[in-house]
Amino acid sequence: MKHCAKVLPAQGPIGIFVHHNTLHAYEPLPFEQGVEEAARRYGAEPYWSLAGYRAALAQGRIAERDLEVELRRELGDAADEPLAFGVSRLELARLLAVEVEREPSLATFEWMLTEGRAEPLLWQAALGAARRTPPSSTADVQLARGAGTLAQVHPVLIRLCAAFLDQGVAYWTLPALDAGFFAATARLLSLPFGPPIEWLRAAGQSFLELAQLDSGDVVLTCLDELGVHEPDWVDYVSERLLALPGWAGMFHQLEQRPDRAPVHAPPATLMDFLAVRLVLERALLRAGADGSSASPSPAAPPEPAFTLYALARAAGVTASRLAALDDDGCVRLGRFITRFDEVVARRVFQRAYERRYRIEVLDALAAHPPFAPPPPRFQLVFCIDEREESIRRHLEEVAPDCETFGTPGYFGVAMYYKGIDDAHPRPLCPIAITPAHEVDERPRAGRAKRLERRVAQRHALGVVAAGAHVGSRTFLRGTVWTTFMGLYSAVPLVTRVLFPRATAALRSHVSALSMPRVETELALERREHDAPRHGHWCGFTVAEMTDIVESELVNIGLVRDFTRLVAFVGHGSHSLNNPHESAHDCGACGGGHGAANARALAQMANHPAVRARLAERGIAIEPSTHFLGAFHDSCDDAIEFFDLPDVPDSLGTEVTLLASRLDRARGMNALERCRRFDVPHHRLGPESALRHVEARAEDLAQPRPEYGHATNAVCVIGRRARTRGLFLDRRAFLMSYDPTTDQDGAILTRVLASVVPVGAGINLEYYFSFVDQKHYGSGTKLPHNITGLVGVMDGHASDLRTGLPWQMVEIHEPVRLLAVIEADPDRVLAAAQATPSVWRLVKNQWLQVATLAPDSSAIHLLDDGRFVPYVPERDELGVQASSLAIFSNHRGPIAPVRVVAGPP
Amino acid sequence: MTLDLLASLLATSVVAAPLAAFAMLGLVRLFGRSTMERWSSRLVAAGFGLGVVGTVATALLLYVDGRDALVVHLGTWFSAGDYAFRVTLLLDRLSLPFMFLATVLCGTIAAFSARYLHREAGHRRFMTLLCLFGAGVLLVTSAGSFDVAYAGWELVGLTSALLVAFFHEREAPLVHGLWTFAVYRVCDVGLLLTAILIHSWAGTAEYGELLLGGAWPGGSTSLGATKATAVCLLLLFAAVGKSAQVPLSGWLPRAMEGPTPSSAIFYGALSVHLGAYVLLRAGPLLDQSPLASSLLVAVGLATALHATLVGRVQTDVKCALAYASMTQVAIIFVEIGLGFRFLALVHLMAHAALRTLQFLRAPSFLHEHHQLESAMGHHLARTGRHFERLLPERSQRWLYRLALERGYHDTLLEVWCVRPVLGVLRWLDRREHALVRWLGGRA
Repeated sequence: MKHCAKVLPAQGPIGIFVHHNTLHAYEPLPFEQGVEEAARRYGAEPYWSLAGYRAALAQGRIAERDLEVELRRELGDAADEPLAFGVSRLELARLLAVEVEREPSLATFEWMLTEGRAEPLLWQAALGAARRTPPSSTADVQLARGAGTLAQVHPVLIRLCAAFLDQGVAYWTLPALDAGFFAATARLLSLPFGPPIEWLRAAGQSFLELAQLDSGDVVLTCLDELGVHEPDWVDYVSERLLALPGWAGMFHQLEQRPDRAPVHAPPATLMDFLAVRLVLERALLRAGADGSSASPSPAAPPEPAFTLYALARAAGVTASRLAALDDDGCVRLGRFITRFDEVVARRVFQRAYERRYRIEVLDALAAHPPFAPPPPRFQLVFCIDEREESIRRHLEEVAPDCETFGTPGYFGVAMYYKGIDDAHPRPLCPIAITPAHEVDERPRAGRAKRLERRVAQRHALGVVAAGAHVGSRTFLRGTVWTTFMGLYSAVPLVTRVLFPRATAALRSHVSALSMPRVETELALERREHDAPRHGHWCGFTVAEMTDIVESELVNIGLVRDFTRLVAFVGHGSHSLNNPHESAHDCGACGGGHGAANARALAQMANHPAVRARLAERGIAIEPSTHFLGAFHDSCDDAIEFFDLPDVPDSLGTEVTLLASRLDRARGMNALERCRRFDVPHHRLGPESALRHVEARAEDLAQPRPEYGHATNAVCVIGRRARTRGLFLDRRAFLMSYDPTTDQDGAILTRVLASVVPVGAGINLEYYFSFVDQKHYGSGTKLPHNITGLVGVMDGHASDLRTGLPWQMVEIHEPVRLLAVIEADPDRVLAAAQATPSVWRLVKNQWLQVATLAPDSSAIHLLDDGRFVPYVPERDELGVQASSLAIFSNHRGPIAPVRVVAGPP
Repeated sequence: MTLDLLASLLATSVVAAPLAAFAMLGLVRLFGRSTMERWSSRLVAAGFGLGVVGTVATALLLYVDGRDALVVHLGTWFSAGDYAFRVTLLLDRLSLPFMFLATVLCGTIAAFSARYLHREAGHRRFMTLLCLFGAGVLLVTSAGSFDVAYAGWELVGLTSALLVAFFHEREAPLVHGLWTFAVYRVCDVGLLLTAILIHSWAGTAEYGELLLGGAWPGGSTSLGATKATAVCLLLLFAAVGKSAQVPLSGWLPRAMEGPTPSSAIFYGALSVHLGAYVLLRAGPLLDQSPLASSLLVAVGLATALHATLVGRVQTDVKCALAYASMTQVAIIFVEIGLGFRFLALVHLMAHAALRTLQFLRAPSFLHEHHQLESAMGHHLARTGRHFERLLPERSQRWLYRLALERGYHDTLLEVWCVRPVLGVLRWLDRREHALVRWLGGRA
């Protein structure tokens, strides 16, 4: 069972969306082998479509030269040898990749023939030649797994699964839910007077007979009866599970991580799911349904004659020359066409595609002179998230005295956090970590009364809202409510649709006026002997805080020359019309907001006892330095500061100054984001751009509140000086790491372990959701229907859709993450090998790795397990005066450009 | 007199505007030009915006003039023998509020969809269908005769089915769209027969001549009790399909395959209420027929019970809303049957507004649920406890299963109606083939 479960999607309940490699189970294989095997197993796409790559070639996103290089690599030494008609293998392969249509519609072609738009003589010659070629082997044309299912089972099974896993949409829960899925289903379906469907009645009878058995025994009984022998169990069971991968995966996820259930964890087991499925299918088979009839016939192999025809035509070979080709030539040509099939063409294209962007980035990094900053006035630490690249760049542009750093957005503070307005604590840290500490937000001294009033008021509003929510759907309450209150909803209906931003502003204004505002702080400190509560420590001891602060500062290389004001900026996102809202939040916080983490780290670093201990460890922070927590909303670009009452009076003007600089930066950031949205961004200014993104966040009709991680492609691990002033188009994760302070590579090991799996997970999730939205992604979000608070279905009864919706990934460019690490190649290899999960990704090329020498512009690229020197294609780099000059009037991706600011 | 002319013009423009928008979008497509997304959604929104203005202005003019109703004769579409299809509109206290509702909702949905369907492959198709749908609804509501109403009724049915099957690259939407279409078509027969019977009995299908005296909801009819009963039963049959009442309610959850805004406006707001609307219009006929009225109440009650039970076990947001919608429409049916017509109209409009907003908020359900939990300070209380307290365990399970399987309605329909009909059709098909072979063999 464990083995079978690996093929299922690993996506948990949608409220906490954690990015991960969609094909995590295939990571032990090299990337290309992995995606191709998975494609065969799931009936999915391994790479982007041929049409997609061809369009990229036409638009210059792939250069002819990239294609040639990668074709040569694929074809080996024989590339230049002529294969037939004196045309080289290289040229034939290029034509096959770039021009030849592989899957013709024969009807269309016949029409073309009769209309005189095709060459009949050539076609005759091709037909003749095709008869002399060996038949292409179709042995590896494999059916999509799970396709040959008994689809009649699905409506019943989906309803049962949804009822069992429901977390609070339905008014009435499944009876006997606590007994488990199999037992509850058995009790339900074995009742008399059911529906007049033969097989379902029979299934009810089976459930009655099997009800006493354990679900594992039921599965064995069914397998036995279906005639599946032990060696085939894994294959058979996997196939059964893959018929509804979304639901099966959710059972598995809730079995593995019941703590991730949004409300209460039902006793879900995959074995129960399988038992129910098999009993239902057995009943259907017994009733005479043909299990294989539902399977679609495999796609016909490409017509060899047509490919030959198209190839000859593209190569400019005349009919007579094709007809004159000898048998040997036909065989060679036929073999070549079979071997260089569409998957190979796409594989080569994918490498060429990655090559182009890799060269753009590496050339830029090599040519970009390290930035020698003036002594900074402010230091700000952001998340490594590629969406923060632009706001950092704009901040440095509008205020060159700002120095920025990047670190995973949970700021090293792994905790459960409960804000004053939250109902439950939630974990804020990467999914791999289970926090041991809990931190609560509490009112500041003298504010407890106000908090009580606030809680009471919110509760009262909540009661009304909950009453309306339930009441509007029921019989009697619903009648009264709709008749008397219904007409009032016309007002929000019209205003929220037509004026989303103004309506939201009005609402928040009213709530700010009426709701008592409470100044708060974090209950952060715990004394050594305090007892844990619910298994968590309530807060951190001074020693723990010191460790956290030290490790954070050391990781990013900020250990001396602190400015008077240092800000930690967490990020998150809020939006409507977006079941995948959490996927836009901070990945390092496990799909949560990084606000509390930034605030906590600042509060820790301000703690006098922590500072004293840090000084003992060699990190001297001046008493005049103050740390400030802040939050950046990546959807509406709002920025908020925390704990302002704690800022010393002497720094008041500094805070105001920083706020005004961030204000300008966020306006420019909004403007840069607008270029990707379909708005006339060249007519917008920073102010109007901000208004636009604010409206997007509050718009019920907006399927793209923000683009999330789309277009992510690079991860630079090194000093900001190496990338500062480089326009990276919101495509680069930027992790600060100072190789000069890392004596033995221990820091790098730590950094890689925390950055690589997260970055590669995000990158690969976008890759797969983009290249196959049907199997890996969740398709267009328009018909999405939230089910049981755990996931979305298409329409009213489908499988749970996993992966990302099309609207999130549509502008993505599917390339593997290119990690550029500022360190010596040997050190990078050692650091990557030190962590198995990192090494597996690196070794199997699920991401590309390059190094940038700390003291020169030398670059090495990891190729087949060893680093080889990289020779830049061009050594000059485009220069512009500002980011604005670069991105205005551009919608598509932009290659890295150097920004050299004019006089301040 | 000029006031009359002005009001007629305005009222006509309300129906004509979406039709004109449809025609423009359609013609542009027909000539192979591609319309800009922005341009087409603006055109549609403008069409409905004009409708809102036209409706309000007409109502104001009538009010100023102190009149209850206005009949607009737009001429004859076609005639055959004694019969002439006269295009007549009736603007009164029933149609004007509903037209206002329809234009406001359609306009809002057009604005919503412009953003919601942005960059979607079927954007223009959606907008075109939305126009046609809006025009259909406005025709049904402003119709001055059963003939005109039938024309609008057909447009609504066709566009609804096409929008359920909007995502035609997947199989499920097509299957469910077809089911919806079939139910609609079968029930359309009710309205068609109504129009025919009324013509043959009363010589006219014009409301103005048929339903005499008094402003809505008053009025009476000259048709005898028996004839009125027959007509009402046919109307009820038509309304049961359109408004998803028992036993033909199964298409409503299936209709959730389309994009969210079409689910909102069709199945939350306008389409489902059209059945109730024609029954409201036929009020005087219902007065004549206690039998039809009681049947109406019975259907409504049965549906309300069915829908509230089934709705309580729905685990996805849109189906839960669909059944909530069905419950309220059923109660509106009961109100009409009991003669509370004014209440029914208010209930209908209020329900349409409320449900549309709820449907539009459906994709934000997680967000709102989270906010609600934080406001309450704990997980929401478990609902449905009284079922567990009041019912014995076994009947609880039985009822739950009944609800989960949606009352077996669609299954029964399939077993009792669809299969026999298909069987007969296939048998006929085989006979025909055999006959053709036989004829061919002889030749």
